[in-house]
Amino acid sequence: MKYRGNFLIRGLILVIVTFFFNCKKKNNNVFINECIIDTTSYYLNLPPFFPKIPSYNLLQLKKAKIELGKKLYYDSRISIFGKSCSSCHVQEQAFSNNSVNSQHHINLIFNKNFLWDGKIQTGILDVMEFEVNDFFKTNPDAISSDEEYKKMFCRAYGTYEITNEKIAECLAQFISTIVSGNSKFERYLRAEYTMTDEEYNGFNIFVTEKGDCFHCHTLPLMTDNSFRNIGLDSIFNSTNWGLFEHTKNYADIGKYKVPSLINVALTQPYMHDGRFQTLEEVINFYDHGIKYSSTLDPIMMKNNRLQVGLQLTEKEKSDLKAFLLTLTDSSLLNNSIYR
Amino acid sequence: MVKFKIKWFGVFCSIIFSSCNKTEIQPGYASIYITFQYTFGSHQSLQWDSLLYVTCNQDTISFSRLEYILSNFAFYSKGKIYKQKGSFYINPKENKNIVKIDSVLGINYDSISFTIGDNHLQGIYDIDIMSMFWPDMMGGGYHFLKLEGYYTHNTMKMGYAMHAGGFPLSPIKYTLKCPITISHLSHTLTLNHKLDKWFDGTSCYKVSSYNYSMGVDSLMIKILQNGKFCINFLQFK
Repeated sequence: MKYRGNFLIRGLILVIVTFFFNCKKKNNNVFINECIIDTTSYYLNLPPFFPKIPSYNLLQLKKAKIELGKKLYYDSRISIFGKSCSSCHVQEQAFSNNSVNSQHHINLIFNKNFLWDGKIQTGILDVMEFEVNDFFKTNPDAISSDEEYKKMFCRAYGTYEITNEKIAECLAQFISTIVSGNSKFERYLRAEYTMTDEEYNGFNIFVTEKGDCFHCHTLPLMTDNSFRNIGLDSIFNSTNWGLFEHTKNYADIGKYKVPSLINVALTQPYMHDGRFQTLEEVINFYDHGIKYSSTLDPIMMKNNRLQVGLQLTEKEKSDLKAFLLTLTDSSLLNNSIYR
Repeated sequence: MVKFKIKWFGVFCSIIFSSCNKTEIQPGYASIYITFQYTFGSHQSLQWDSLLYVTCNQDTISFSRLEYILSNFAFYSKGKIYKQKGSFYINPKENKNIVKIDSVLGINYDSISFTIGDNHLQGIYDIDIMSMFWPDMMGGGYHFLKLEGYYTHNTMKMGYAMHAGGFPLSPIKYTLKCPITISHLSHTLTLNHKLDKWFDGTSCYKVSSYNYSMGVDSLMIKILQNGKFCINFLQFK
């Protein structure tokens, strides 16, 4: 009976302890393996009008992991080729790189397809695992003796162990925080900026059938995340298969990811192969340079576009460019939280 | 003693599973999964990107994109209406072909209604629904439908795009007689989406003549009128 009583008390203690520990911890510091984990959450401040974060990109953002991700982002030791993420994604160039035509790292938390040819079509964590394991061929030993990293991994994970999986997660966490929402255009949407006549006229061309940009570059993210053959080429080979490279579906030949146009003025050169150096070249291409092929996107053939083009006047082209320039978020380019 | 240990283990487990965030399961309610089967005339399934389908105008067409918004779901039982909130994005090519309606009161229903399209979506939506945005400068609202593909013209493959939506157009309302008896926690309602009806529901939509509806109200109205006949009840289980 006495034994049973003891057992009852032990059971009750177990229940109480379990109840308290099973719920959300208020204390963010947890002591494990001589490490103090900092589990402080990070809350993204998203601009108005932005959609929900897709479930496959929902990470439990933690300050310690983001800080670690930021350090890793700028560290060339994580690549066996001696390059860091920031080598190809320069903050001043809107996290792209004008010399290597890399896609920018802005608002990736809203992406559902990654890389120009759709090699990764799952979440932001998967694309970072690809970058770490396949692109960088990261060897975690390269940073394992760095005392500062040891402390940071300790804070983030409660252990000194450094793995590619953790490196990828921290990079994904940091990149998730790079959100742009303060361009002139976004301020216009919030009624904080008045567009010039040229910018407004360009906006009008952008979001009407006149320029017909909006079907693929959907507001407010300026991409619909789809893959399309926009008519850059009429002959295809292994250099320009696009999405077909991965799906082996002939209907996907020549299709590439529709990029977001946020900060487009800073992300030259343009197109998947960087064939255009200026926005004027891009606008001229859409105006009268589209080439026919059997997988050319239906939208690109609209209203005899192949024969007569968009027929934009020089003034309209100039206005369209003026609108595209309103998509530059200067506040992002020098923001110290990303350095 | 062993029995006693098992008892405490049971208490321990139940607390683990019940003490924190949980999904409320309301007694007397069910979830209904609504899914669509796509047909075109005698074709009992849809083969993407294949020039297989002959329209009322004898145009041979393919389908490369089908996206639409479903909204305003309501269940009817003996004259009473049970409305459900929420708008849903459907894109069968990307395997987004199921709508989950939660908390459907566990009674018998005789019919269901919903709309294709809605210009009054509220709240924050996901990136898919945002891609259906209809610019304010063209009236505002959302695309109800995007149906795109190719047709053959003098042996050449040409594109078509049937888009409809935005203000001031009204969504297509469907009211389907279907016996729904809620007897489990979840059920599946399968509807037949007859793609051929977008082309010949009330009048023949000539793809080769009007391959783009965008910016042409009369064509969009024609599409929406045809579309009234494109959804049928198939089965409920």
